[in-house]
Amino acid sequence: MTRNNETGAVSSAPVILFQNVAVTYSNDVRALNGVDLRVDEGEFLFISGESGAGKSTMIKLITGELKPTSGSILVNGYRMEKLREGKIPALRRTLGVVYQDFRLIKNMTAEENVAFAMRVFGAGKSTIRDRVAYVMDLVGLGGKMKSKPTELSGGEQQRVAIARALVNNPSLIIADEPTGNLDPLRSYEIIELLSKINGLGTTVVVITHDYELLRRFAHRVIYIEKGNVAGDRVLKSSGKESGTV
Amino acid sequence: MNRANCFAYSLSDGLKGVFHNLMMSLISFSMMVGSLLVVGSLVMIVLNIDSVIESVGDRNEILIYISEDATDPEIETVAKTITKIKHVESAAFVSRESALSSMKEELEDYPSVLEGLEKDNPLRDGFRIRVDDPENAAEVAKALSGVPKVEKVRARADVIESFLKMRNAVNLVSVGLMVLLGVISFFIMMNTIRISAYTRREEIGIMRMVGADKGMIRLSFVTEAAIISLAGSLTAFGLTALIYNELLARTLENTGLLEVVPFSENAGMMLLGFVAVSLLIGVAGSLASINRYLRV
Repeated sequence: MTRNNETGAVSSAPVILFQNVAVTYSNDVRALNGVDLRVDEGEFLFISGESGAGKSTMIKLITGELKPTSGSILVNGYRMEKLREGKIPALRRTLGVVYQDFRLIKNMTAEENVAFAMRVFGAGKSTIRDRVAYVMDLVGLGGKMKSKPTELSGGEQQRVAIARALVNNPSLIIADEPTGNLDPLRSYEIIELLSKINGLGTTVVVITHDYELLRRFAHRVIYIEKGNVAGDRVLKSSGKESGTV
Repeated sequence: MNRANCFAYSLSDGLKGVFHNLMMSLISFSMMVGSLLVVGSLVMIVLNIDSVIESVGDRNEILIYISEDATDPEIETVAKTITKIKHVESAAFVSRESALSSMKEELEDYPSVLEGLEKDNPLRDGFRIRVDDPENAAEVAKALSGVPKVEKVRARADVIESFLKMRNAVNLVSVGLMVLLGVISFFIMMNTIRISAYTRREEIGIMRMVGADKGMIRLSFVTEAAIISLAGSLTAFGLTALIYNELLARTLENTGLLEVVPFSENAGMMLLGFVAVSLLIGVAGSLASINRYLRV
């Protein structure tokens, strides 16, 4: 591995690499206890576990909202424990993040919500128009570009959020409980959409505690329990475990 | 990442913010206009007092009269002594004859008053003395009264002193008000931007999460504050000019007591001052309030 001293970026590395990562919050709550995790390019990974297990802490570590108390984290070539605050925007431009509560701007149309993520990077108008139309088609909302979030169903709103995460062509998409506010049918549709995006080459990490989803989709699953990795398996769609990674 | 497009986006976003948060924008704008209007009016009042002091000072040449029994060598000594007094700029000898002829010119419409004066000139030889600064007139007058053979000193130092006191008082009030109004404007601007940032906190969070620079987000709010400040300063400038020309200057002119300082003489300096002060307050206020919303 070679590291660029200026950006902290490392070449020829896994998309995500946790090495003995521990996080203790200021109130002495220990959220992670020496977690090791490797996610390679093009993978689809579920991170599962009960509430308070440490899943959200892992997301915060990946997006640069939190620094580890100890251990080492590599995300898209950035050494997170050494990453200076000024470099966090550059890291985030390589990520797409999808939240449970969609986080759409209510007074903007679906198209504007997606375009917004490109405008803040200074993309040109025609580039934005073409790219937004492409991703909106990709998520199946080509006909609802002008709809406001309040005019869309929960599933559609989450699709807009996925389109927004996707619009800057990130190499990694992190979805934090993306189906938490959706009924089972819409949940399957969202995971199918994320699988489709994964099929196009984007690494996808989905946080969920919905075991029905884990059983239905045959992807690698990391179980987090009390801040430790309790399991790292690939499930078959029947729900039968196919092996330990 | 295209920096020019980002910059343009932040500017347009700042402009939208002004209207998105219209009520607070209007409050900030009004406060800025009110503060600058008060300050501007006080500045014009100070300038007029200065002008009065200057004009009184111009007319206030100190006159001294020499004793009737003074000989020519003694008058020469007086002249030498006067020019050595601190703050004396010049001293011109005025003979009793030339004083009479000046008097004749001034009173030519009243020949009866002048009757017999040429035969028995009651005027004295004297000196017309100019002081370097009207503020020093009292000191010079005091020194002159101690010069031998100087019989009488006529100065209007008391008038100047009154104006100086008035100017200093107005200056003091102006500075106090400037500081007070500046602080109030700063806090109102801070709250305007804080509310604007609060109403757009989700948007800011998303911007941070998709990788927008803090500087770019800040620029958007600084632009919002700068637009309000700039609009406030230009409006205040226009209103100051209007109120001064149509109300204050006209009233003072009608009294006929003094020559009013034209607004145009100081317009450039005032406009520059208004814009600079309002931008400083606006930018500082916005920067002070936005940081807490950037911690994502």
